[in-house]
Amino acid sequence: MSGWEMVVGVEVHVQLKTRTKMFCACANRFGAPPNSLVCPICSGMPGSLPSVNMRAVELGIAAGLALGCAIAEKTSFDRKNYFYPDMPKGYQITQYDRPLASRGRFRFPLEGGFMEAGITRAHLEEDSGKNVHDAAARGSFVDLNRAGVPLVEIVTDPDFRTPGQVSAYLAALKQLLQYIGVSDCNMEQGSLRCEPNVSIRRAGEKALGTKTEIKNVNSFKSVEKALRCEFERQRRILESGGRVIQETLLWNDAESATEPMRGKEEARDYRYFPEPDLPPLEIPGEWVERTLASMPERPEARRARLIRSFGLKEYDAALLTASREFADFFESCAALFGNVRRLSSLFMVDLLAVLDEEKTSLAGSRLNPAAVAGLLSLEEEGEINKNQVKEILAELVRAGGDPAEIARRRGMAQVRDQGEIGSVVARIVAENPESVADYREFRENMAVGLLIGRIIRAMGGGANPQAARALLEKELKSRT
Amino acid sequence: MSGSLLTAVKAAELISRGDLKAVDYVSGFLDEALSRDSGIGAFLTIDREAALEAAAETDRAAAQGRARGRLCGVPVAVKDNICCRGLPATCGSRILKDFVPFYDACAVRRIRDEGGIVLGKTNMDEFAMGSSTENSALGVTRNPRDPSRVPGGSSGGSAAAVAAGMAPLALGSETGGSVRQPASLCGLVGLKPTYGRVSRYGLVAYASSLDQIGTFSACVEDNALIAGVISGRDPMDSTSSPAPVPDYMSGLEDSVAGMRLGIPREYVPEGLDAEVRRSFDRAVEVLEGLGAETAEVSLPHTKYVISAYYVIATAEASSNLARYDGVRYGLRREASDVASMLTSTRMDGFGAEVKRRIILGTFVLSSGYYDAYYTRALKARALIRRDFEDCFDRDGFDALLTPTSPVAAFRFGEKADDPLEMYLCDVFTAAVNLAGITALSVPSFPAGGSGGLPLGLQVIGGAFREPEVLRIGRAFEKAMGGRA
Amino acid sequence: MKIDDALIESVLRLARLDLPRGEFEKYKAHLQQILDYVEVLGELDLEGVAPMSCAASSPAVLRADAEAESAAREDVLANAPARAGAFFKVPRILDQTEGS
Repeated sequence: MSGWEMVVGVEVHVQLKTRTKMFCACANRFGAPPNSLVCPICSGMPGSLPSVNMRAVELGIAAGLALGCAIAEKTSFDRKNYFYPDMPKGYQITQYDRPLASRGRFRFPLEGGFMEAGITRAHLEEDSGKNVHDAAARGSFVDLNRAGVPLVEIVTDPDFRTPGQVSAYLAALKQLLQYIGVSDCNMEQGSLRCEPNVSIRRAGEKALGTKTEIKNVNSFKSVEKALRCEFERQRRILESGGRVIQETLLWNDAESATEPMRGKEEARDYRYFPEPDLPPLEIPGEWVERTLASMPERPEARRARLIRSFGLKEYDAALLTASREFADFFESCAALFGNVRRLSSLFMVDLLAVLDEEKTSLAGSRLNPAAVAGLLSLEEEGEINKNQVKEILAELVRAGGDPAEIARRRGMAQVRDQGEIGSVVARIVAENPESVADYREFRENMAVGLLIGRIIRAMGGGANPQAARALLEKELKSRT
Repeated sequence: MSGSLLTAVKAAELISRGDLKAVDYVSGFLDEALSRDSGIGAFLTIDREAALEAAAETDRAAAQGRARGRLCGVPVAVKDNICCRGLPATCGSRILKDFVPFYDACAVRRIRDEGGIVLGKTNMDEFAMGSSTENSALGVTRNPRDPSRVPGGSSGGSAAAVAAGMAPLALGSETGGSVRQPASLCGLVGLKPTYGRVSRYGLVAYASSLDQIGTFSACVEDNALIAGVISGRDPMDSTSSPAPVPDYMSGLEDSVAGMRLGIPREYVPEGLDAEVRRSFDRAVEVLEGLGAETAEVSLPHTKYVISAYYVIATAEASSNLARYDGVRYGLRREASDVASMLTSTRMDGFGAEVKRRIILGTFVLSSGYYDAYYTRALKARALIRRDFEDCFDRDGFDALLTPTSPVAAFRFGEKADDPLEMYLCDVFTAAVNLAGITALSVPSFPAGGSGGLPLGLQVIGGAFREPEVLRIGRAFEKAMGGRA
Repeated sequence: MKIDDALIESVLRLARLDLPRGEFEKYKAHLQQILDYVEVLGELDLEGVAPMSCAASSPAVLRADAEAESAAREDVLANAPARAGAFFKVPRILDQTEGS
């Protein structure tokens, strides 16, 4: 990039998939009515005290291990002091001096190869509530349902040099954390949020430039856009002889521009100090080992296993293991239906297309493995064809049900009743003496093709072609 | 009948058997409060109806033989920084003037579970910052022993309530001496339990690593009773100890003969008030007369106590008091934007001493000063704790004896203009909070002889050594002619 | 150390506090007096001493991830100085730098 190089590190906040909040027993749930998942602790009422959610620590350990980090034997919480209406205590409980996990390395796929990024640290903290701005009321409304939801913050070393590397990292991180059950990583619901920090320098230089931090990037697409914009902004400043100032910028997606935050940033001094309400936490090695042993299979291991045990191609296996949900579902189906090659093509071609058309996900669909196996068995037995498979699949995704029943209802199930087909065959043959003549004169293929078409049409497409053909040939032979 | 002639221990026993009506016992204190408190100012809220209703319910239960609890029918006054469901918890501050919590503090719940009855909420220095209760934004509290003088603080209201016979028992809170010092100035027994012994859940935080709920009573036995009730592990307070709570009542009457008691020379300095010294020396002689062995010891880091205490307490306070922002509860001064609303709310809502401590605490935590002040204070704290460990663990002392307060009750306004002089009221008590250990103040020889202002003897014990300090206090109390 | 007006002003900003008109000098003098007093900590040799930041005698006991009922919304909102329906209501937020 024109003699300049960007240097990027990324902070990612991920909401942990626990039942309860970080420091109280309120439910950790998205989308509840405002201030309905709140208690004295998460609303910062006087006299309330935090107590640490064991599951959150476990998930933090799992995330740390999956990112190749060392897990601290002794870890502790600190207070980060600042005022904001959605921060009920006037401080956030986080980890500053002794994070749960640190010094990791994470390897992820990039453009057909792999890249490795250093993980500086991964620590636990609590989320803030939400301010809903209301222009008409000239004020804001505060909802504390999210206040106290457990987060793990994952900080990388400044190892990224292109926007593509950053989005590949984020995609892989998201996949990993979903796989090991640490988080839903749902960017729309805010359960994964990322804040890249960017500096630039002349290519080949060793020293780092002054960095800025970008907030409010809400999708992988905007991460890349924001990084490109910020790179250009800093380049223009430096090339015109200016200096980049260390600040936090807000990404404006509509304007495609980074803009400074309103307010006095130099006044920011978080006054971190050890949280006196929480004694340090001891993490016995045995706990770490147990977490490691019970950690769900990670994406790359799963990919390798699918290739090994089903003979899938690398590309197919990667697609099938893109999410844990998808891979789990595939394996459940494979246990019920032996033709894995057909199954994988159904998944990669039809299922992805249907889910996309229906704008849903596996979890949101009514599909189950038994239905998939039943559907492919119908096809294998020649009851339905490929197009019909897709049609029924769409209905199964939408509404669920039994594939055979759907096929029948839609008139797809082919008539195999010999008597019923036989009478139609007899009628069609009688109505088409010229074809009988053709057959007799050894233009068999022409005759049979024409008659089969008419028979099937007469039966509304419901006849089994093999059965119809056998009966027709018998009928024609009897007339020669 | 006048309840104050009975110990709370005895009253609970009589009430649960139906031999004393809880309604009569509770009414005795309520009547006293209604007739006397206008001149004392101990209470901010008296929950008369609910207390009488609870007493009536206790009597109904007793009549059916199902009255239970170690505090059966016994009323308790509660410092206003300890939450009681449905009663205001102002903490003596304008910023919380109208705040009513919808939850009970753990200690309050335990009192109710043992049949105790909340009588009302008592006055205090704003957010427990002070040693005279003069820093309350909600009124003056007078020392029942001499109404021209302060009751001490910050739990001055609770001390005054018990000293005036308006409650048999009271909860206070300790950060640097806020139970022991007013107990000393009002002539009561005051216990500061080991850090982690009593759950802090529902105690409005001043300095979380120092705060602990403490207890007031007229005699040691009653203190052992209520302290035993409120102690024990609470999952809602991560700093509460899982160690089992021994029965504080058993062994209370055991002899102190052969116990080894240390007298830290730094607590009897050259310039010590002559009356305080005389009272203390005589108290030591009394315990020696009971067969205890005494020896001079040294707590070499004593001169750093007040400095370390004020740096740590104000640092934590600056953070603990950040939640008073006018958003969810308490006072709000309206303004056109949030930042202005916050600043004017806090400026109007906090009193001078609270502001002073927030400023100091914010400063010692701010970047550039953190290590020079805060980290140093935390290290000094470790040394101060080690001094005590040396006495108890290495040298085998059972307890240490010191005066509780360097002065008897002083007059209103006497120290109000000089914050540092007020801070020095904590000079004999704050080390115990820094070390996280336990101490009891028990009435000793008054200043200027009998009829003079009360003075306390402080008995300091190691962590979780409440049974020992209570036993020593009880032996001393008995020898002084207290309840046999 | 000597404290000056700028230092106090920056601390007041951090603490979201203001002082009554005309009392700035009094607060400054008190703070100076207290800071002078705590200077005594500077004479301690603290080499190798671990800071004591938590007074608890045992490590934290962790809470099981079991849901309990939240508070009734009316209880949570009952003390609010201003509310809009089920929300706490605050004036406009002008300063964005404070948000998380």
